[in-house]
Amino acid sequence: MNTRLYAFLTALTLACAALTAPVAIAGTFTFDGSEGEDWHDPDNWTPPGTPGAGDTAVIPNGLTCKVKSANAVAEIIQVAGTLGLEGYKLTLGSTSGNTTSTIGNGGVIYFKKPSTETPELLVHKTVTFDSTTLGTITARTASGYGPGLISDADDPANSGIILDSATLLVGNFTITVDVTNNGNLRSDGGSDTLTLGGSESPPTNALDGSGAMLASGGGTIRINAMELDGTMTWTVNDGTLWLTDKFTIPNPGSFDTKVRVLDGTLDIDADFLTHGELDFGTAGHAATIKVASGKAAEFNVDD
Amino acid sequence: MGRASRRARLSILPRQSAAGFGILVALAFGGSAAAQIPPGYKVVVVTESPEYDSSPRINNRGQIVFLRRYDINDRYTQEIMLYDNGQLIRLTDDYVWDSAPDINDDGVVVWSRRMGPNETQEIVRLENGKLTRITDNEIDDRSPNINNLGQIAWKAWNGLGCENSGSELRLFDGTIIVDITANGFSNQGQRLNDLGEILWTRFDFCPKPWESVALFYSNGQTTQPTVGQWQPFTTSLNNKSQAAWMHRVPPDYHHENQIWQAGVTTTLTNWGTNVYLNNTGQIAFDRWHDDTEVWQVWYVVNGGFLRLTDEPVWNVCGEINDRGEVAWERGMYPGDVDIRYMKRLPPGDLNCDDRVDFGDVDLLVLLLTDPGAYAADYPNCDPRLADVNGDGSVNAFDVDPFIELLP
Repeated sequence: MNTRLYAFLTALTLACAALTAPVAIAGTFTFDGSEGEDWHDPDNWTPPGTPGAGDTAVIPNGLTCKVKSANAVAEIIQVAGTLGLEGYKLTLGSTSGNTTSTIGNGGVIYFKKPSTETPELLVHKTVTFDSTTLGTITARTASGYGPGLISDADDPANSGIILDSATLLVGNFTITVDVTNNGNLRSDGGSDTLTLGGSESPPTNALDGSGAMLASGGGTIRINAMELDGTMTWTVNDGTLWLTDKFTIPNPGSFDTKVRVLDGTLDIDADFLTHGELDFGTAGHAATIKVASGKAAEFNVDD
Repeated sequence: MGRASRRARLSILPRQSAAGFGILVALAFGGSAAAQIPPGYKVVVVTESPEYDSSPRINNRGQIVFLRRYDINDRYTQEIMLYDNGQLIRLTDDYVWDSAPDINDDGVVVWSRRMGPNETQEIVRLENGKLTRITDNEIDDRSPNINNLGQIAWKAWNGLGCENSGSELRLFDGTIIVDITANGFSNQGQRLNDLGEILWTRFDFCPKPWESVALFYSNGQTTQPTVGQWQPFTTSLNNKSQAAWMHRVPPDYHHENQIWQAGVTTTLTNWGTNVYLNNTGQIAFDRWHDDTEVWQVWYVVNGGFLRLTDEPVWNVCGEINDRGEVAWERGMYPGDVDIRYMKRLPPGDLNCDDRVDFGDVDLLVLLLTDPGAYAADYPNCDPRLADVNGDGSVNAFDVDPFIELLP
């Protein structure tokens, strides 16, 4: 047998095969939970090993994965099951560009504070949450969750989240990044305050989009230092929507948010102007709009 | 075919003067996206079922143990399965959370099993039909490895220490259980070889971001093979004391896989993860393919790379044995995942039909008299299978043992 010829042919073939391979980086890890619910147990993932920077982490339908023993990192998450942030941080996104994560098929990301550390989602650049069907990001106290933080990983002025039309963000959150709400922002419990924006002046973040924002069930939505824009519909129905004196409307000509105050309080502490309509009051309920002294609130402003 | 591969083809093909060379290389390139099963092997469908089959481990007899979950949403339906020479055997059949099986060359199977009033995970061993409980305590003993000495290594998750993620390594030497670590860190990902050496990852979850190092235990001494790698994770240790791990390389955090032996570290590939080393020089690992968004199993032999799988589903490597056989899981997650096995054809099987019979007789004659003609006629068969006496050569001394194999 000409073993040298065989070895040469084999090596040549293999070398050629290697050259045909495309270049790729990182990879996708699927949580299988065979050993439990801990993100940081490598045996819970396929392939084995915990996802890290640059990787995609998939939580399949029916499984719960908890970030409960250390902070976690991934570039993208695809959540069809449940991802719990329990007292730790998840850093998401990429420093090199915007990313899209998915919360599909009823997937849930919950924030829970079992100890002294408030769970936090840190984002690099803009992270879109794309939900094929309803996807929920929750820190809802009545469900045993919250509070939660969503903030920037490294660049406060250029980080944000985009909620697509089937994504619901609800509960006791403080969010200090840009928010494009094409889905639903909601505070629907008496113990919950959804705070949008920090306290800096002028604002370094923006709130816009075309989705809905609802304060109900005694819940409060507080809009702090945010540049307001977009065509959202804000609804107050047995809740409080509080626009503190930190917000600005840098482009009044394009601000078309519709405001519905059906039951509860709209509290405005700075000049407010929108081209959107005001829908005020419902029979048998107490609707209130409070405007701080010396400030003006204008609705349905003509172009 | 990408630009790089076209360029490679143009530069290599003209150098082939013999027709056989050109044909072989062209086939290799033309099939760049196709599975590349090495000569002398074939892929066996171990399971094809709606259940979730995962975590295959293979020994040197081709026996494969794996985990089957009957209800994807219920881990208490996880059962231990054994594939043995074409037979599929269910080793457990109860509503108990079983996980992480492993098997040695004697067919002894170990796994972790939730037991007792608190349902802690305990290590159990199945040998000759007898189930023995190795651990009995109030902590979670998980993910055991068993070697051919019968030693068993596992991680004992005590939830103590830094960030309540403490996990210590323990070794059952056949008689007693000894602590390999007692450092308060999260020691995981252990691999045990037949020398009683252990490779593992020591995670430190207190720093933010967390840190890890690879550690190597040999003859009572522990050393640290990794120096400066970003969050390395250990994947394999063979009987040559070669260790493998994956780490990420900033700033893009691509995966790099390294192999370490006696203080010397070399990089195998900067694309992939989950590297398994055998004792005969072959390597199996996974690569993520961005174009189809799936993992594929790759194989390293004689310094070259073969892509073993090509279907547009996830193929995730389980382990490689010393015959170069690989077991892996294949499917779309979650749920419908099956087990595949690249099997070495038997010695004497020269027409690659997975058996030795009179159909191989003429081919042995052809191989001994005109190996070029044999290679041309049977390019997907391995002439080394004619080395029936196992002396490393194919010659007349193989004839008598070959005849003894005939039915």
